[in-house]
Amino acid sequence: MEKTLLGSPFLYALLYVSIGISLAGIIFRITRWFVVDTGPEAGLIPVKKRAASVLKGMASFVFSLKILKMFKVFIFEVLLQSRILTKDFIRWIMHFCIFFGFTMLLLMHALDKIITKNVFTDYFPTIDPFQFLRNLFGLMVIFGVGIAVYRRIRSRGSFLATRYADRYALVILAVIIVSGFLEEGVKMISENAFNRMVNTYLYPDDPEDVDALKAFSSKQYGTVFSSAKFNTSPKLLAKGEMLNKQACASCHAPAKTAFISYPASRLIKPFAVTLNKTRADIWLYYLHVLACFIGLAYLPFSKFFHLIADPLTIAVNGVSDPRNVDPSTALTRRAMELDACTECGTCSRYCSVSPVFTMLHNTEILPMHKILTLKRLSSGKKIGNAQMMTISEGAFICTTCFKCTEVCPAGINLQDQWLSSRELLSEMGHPLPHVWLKKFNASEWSDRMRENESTQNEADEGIVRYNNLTGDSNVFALCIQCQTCTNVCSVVAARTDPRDAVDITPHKIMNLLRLGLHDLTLGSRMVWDCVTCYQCQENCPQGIRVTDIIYELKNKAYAHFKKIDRSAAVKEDPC
Amino acid sequence: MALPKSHNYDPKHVFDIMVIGSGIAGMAASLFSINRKLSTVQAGSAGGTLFTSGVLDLMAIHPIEEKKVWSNPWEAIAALRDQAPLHPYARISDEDIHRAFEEMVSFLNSVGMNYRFEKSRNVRLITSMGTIKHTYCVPESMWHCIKAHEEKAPCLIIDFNGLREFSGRQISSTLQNEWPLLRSLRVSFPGTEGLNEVHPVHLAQALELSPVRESLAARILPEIRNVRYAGFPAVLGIKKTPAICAHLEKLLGVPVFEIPMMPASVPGFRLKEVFDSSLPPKGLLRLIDKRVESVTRLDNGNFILNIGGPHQDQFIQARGVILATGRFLGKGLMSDRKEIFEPLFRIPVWQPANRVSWHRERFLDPSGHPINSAGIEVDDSFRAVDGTGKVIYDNLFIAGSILAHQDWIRMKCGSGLAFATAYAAVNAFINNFVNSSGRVTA
Repeated sequence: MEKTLLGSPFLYALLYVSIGISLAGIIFRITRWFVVDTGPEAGLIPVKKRAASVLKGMASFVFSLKILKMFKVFIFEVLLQSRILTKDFIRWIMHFCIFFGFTMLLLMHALDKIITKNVFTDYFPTIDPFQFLRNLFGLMVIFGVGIAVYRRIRSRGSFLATRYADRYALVILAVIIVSGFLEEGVKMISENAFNRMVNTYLYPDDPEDVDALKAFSSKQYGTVFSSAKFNTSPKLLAKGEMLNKQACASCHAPAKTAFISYPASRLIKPFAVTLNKTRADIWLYYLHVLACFIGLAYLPFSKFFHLIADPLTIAVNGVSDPRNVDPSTALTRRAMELDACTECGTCSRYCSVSPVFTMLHNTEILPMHKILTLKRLSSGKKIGNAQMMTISEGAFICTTCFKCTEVCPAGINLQDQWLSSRELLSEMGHPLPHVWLKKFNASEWSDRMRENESTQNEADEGIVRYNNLTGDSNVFALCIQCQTCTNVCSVVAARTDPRDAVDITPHKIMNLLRLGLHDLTLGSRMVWDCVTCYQCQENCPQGIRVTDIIYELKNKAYAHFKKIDRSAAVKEDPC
Repeated sequence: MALPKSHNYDPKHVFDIMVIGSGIAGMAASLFSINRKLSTVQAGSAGGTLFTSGVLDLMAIHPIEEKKVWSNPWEAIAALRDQAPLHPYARISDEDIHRAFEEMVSFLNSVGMNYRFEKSRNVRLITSMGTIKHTYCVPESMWHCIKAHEEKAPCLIIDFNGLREFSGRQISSTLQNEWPLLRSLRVSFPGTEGLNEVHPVHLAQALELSPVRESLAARILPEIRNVRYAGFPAVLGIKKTPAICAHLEKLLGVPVFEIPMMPASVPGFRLKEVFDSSLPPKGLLRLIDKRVESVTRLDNGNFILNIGGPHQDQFIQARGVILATGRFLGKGLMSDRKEIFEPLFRIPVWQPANRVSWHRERFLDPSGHPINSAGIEVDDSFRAVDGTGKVIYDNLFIAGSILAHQDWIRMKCGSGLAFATAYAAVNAFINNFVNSSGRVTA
């Protein structure tokens, strides 16, 4: 029976199909690394050259001393996952339990015919320590999955978004492990399994022998028999124990060492007869195996692909200099990194500009969301103009402080991703605000703003966030236009090229504010080129907060201008 | 006198003198008190001295109704004592005024800002408008201007494209009859070609570099021809003015001079730089851009001054205060619909009886407006007094333009008044508290 189950042509066929799908998927996804567009160099380097430079890089690596470093990286960062451990202990417990438990189950249990049997000649799945270890590893996975579910429920939100892929991964893991435990438990109480064993391995001398064994088995392994036609006398039990020793014990450890499955079997004992009748041991076995096959086939298309992409990313970035990017291999590496991201959200939690997100509510500020966007961009999906403006805003709020790269558990060179995607965005017509702002001069911006606001008639939601210095005439009323601010302004002094000169100098800004012409100041070069060195404010004899005012104007300008379609042409002034 | 490295606004630490105000009078009071080994702290806006023209008046016009110009300032002061005995100068001897001037000028000379004056003579200086200003003491860099004007020598005034507040042509045309050999020349300042607007401080900073001076001189040299002096707007450097003048003279082959400009001008920046950088090393605790928001007086008479504002618990305790907060621009005096008041100590302000009589009917009335003489009245020790002549606080001294019974702008006595009253106030503090009083010193 055991043989027929495992060896059934149907299951074998399914196994090969799922292996086939899995391999094809992995090859497909790895091939994509050499094809997709992940940076400004994309158009310049042909696919062939990309592949060649990756091979060359690998070859030069293998024949160098860096390979020693690789061992260290592999042991600490890949196997022990030190990158997670240093950031979040609970997450490390979770991930390590799942990773270690599942890997051990794969090697010891799923591939027992290939591995365990050859290493341990007396291997049998139902003897200790294998029975105990299988339960232990299974428990580790379930424990890890439990923490994962708990974390995802507890810290829901923008920093740990749970998507379909995350649910699928947890569900498939849970199904595999739970069905395994149940299958083992059902087998323990199964009369059918007992009968099959007795038929195969017991050669009864005495008709009482079977009853004796049944009595002992029911005590020792918890087997449940539909009709107890025997009397459990101590004599019968002693006989049963002896028979067990002769025929069973060499392959069957006491069931209690299966410390999960055995209690599980106790729990389902009341339904034993029904389960037996419906052959639950068989369909649970199918469920368990098929879940494994599905998991295998779906691996390249699921979150589990990080099993392949992450160690590669960690290895590649572990031995290369993150601040000195080689452009010929960068495209491929970036594509691989996009696949390595598991959306764990660590980067977002450590992001230096995440406070800006709490103000602007633009998720494109958060690194984890930006990686998702990059995946969309690199796959060539069409993204609308409004969405692109949002993406550009998020991309240029990033200060490329390197923090996310340092904390990424997958070792992704995130900073390089941001720098290259910014260049890409600039090429696509969505550069940083200081650049697109210069498309129009101060009075053109003012005209467009009035036009835009008269059509939209929107309340200015941006203003409440600031001190509103510019709305309070007491702040700048003291200005006597002595020009000290302009005289000490390093930006005005530095702009000696007439084409690039500061148009409205600080004292003129103060005068425009006094005249109530705020809108004319917003698009001025001074407001946007100000380096907030505070010279003007510190030198103002009247104590006016010149720099603070200019800074506030810049924020207000941005809040207004981002609503305006800046792709349209300037209207000619009829005068 | 040694100041604690970080007194951390400890209100228990007692300073001898707190100077409130950072204009010429405040700076002079700080200098005089640190020179007399008093522990001194000074607060005020970032730069009252920015608004100075850079020349130091002593006394030139009296009475203002007649616009009578005195070529000897001491004679003017003597006449003033006779005719306007309430004027602050009437409370100070000529010797003290002279010593105050000497002490200030020697300090400025010691830190590289060379000033020049003649003991008993007012000089005639050209302004950027082409008018003549009668003053007493001028920066060395302006001295040749006086000489050139006296000699009516052939002279070239240079101005720059985009420098809006200075026009050589305006000067030469205004002075045409008096000084026919005055010519003007407009050039582009090196590195600003094509700019609509250039700013004096930036030009001054640029001129600190010798290649810029050489390039500028090369543009002017063809026009020098037979002139004997070359005049520039007051932009010849900020920290190295004497050296820059010398270099330009060498390059151009003629003496050069500066013409003062409208405030806030470069000479004002120079003074600010000098005070900001040279007084703290001499022992002054200078709280830059910190205003005194409120003040309380302890039972022992010491003042506790709240610095910076109601939400910042920063306090200074001082045994005496010199109030040099200036007039309306410096916010030493304020006004509402009814009256003029002093906002910090709320001490009485001598002023016209009502708002109607603040100003005369004609805006440009030569005798000025009564409001211009409003201010704080003091006794001979420069302590504020009330209407009956009673001293309000024995340790509150007043200096500078906030004082009543003077019209420094019209009388051309601003700097002299600032120096002399600051000098008198510091000395009065010493006489009253250090030499004679039984009060414990810091």
